[in-house]
Amino acid sequence: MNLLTAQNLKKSYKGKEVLNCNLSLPVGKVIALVGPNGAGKSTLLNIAAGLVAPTSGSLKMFNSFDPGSDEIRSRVAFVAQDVSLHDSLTVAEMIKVSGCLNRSFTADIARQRIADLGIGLKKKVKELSGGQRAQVSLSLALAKNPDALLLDEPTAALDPLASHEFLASVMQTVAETEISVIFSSHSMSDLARVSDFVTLLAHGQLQLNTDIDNVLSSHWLVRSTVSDINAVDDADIIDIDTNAVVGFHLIRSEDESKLRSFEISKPSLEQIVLAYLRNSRSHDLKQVGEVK
Amino acid sequence: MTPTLWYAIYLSMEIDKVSRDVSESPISFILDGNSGQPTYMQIVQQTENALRLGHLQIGDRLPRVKDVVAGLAINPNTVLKAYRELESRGYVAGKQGIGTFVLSTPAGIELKHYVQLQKSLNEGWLSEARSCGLDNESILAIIQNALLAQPINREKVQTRQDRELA
Repeated sequence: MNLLTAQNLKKSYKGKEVLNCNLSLPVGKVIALVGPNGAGKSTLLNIAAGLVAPTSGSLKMFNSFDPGSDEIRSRVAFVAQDVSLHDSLTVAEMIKVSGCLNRSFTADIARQRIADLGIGLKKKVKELSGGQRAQVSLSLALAKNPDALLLDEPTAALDPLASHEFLASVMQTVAETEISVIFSSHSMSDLARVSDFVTLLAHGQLQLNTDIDNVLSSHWLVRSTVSDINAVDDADIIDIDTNAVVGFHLIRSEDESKLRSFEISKPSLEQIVLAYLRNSRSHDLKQVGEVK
Repeated sequence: MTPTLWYAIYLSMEIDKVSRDVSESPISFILDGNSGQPTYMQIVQQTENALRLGHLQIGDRLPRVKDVVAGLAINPNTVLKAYRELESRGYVAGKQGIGTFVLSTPAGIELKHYVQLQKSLNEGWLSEARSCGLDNESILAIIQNALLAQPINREKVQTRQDRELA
């Protein structure tokens, strides 16, 4: 089953296209949603959460459900960038409000999680630290007992310890349930640790969409001259290093034997993602290929 | 694997009675983001080191997946991949819902020797046996016979030496 299926999905704001993609994402994964600012990541998550309507095309959740439907409202939880809590309310009041807005909400789950974290229910939201606010938002999201969790840069404003603790909470939920997670972030080290699938959007289009194990096994760092690497058949050149006579080039090839005559090594996920981002910037809006 | 697994669990319960608390693992893991080593490999190597140094003994439990995940903020599949690798190396046995337990330690043989021996077995005699069409049972039977024959041969040698000395 697919978690998310997008067909010819387009979104424009004031005539400017911010998203234009075909995409399918599997269930049961922790999906890293990566891309430069303005790549359409937040737009995609907002459409999936039913908060924004696409300009054209369609997006379905769990094969056949519309994002705004009651079914999806109870099965999909969204934690937004600008953590959606009200400053003047107490934590207990936030729980109550969330209970009124969501049919599938179990207040005890939220209260228990928040108590376990040592956060007082009588505290006002504005008195909480950034890490506590993120944890309260996550607790409210998980109290719906959702099948999917959409996280839009949830750790962007957090200090390293709060960020670590937030991700640990999400990973604990993943270990204990069969929840699917889509997680957007700019922190490659966080994404590499927590994700098992990567979706790379640049200029509103899809650059990579596959298991991280596949990404790691099909990409190579090749050290050679530019002309030597250009002469190889059946290898996609993702990023050429022109800074040296003999540079490190990032190559995609399913067949390692094609590269036998070169000095090769394995790039990290971060090196691969950076290579695609550089490539998409230099090719501007041209789509450079999708790893199946 | 199942009888050995149950033996490991039985063993862990017996040890529990005596001294150690095996409901918790004696070890934990740390991550080095700059090591260049994949996360699952770091877990495999830290476990192997703990086995070699005696921090982990037969019957001990490896840390629960949810505890590792909560401590390191990593994907549960990464921990499962590491535990599967340790299982395929013969050090641990795991069963879903129960836990992963130490079956053997690399003591008495250095890992590089173990790898060399396994490699020479796989590439030499075993592949020859396979090409003759032998199945696992036949292979095991030949190895068992060879092991049974070995001490007798040594005894014969000793007796011959003994006679010569005499």
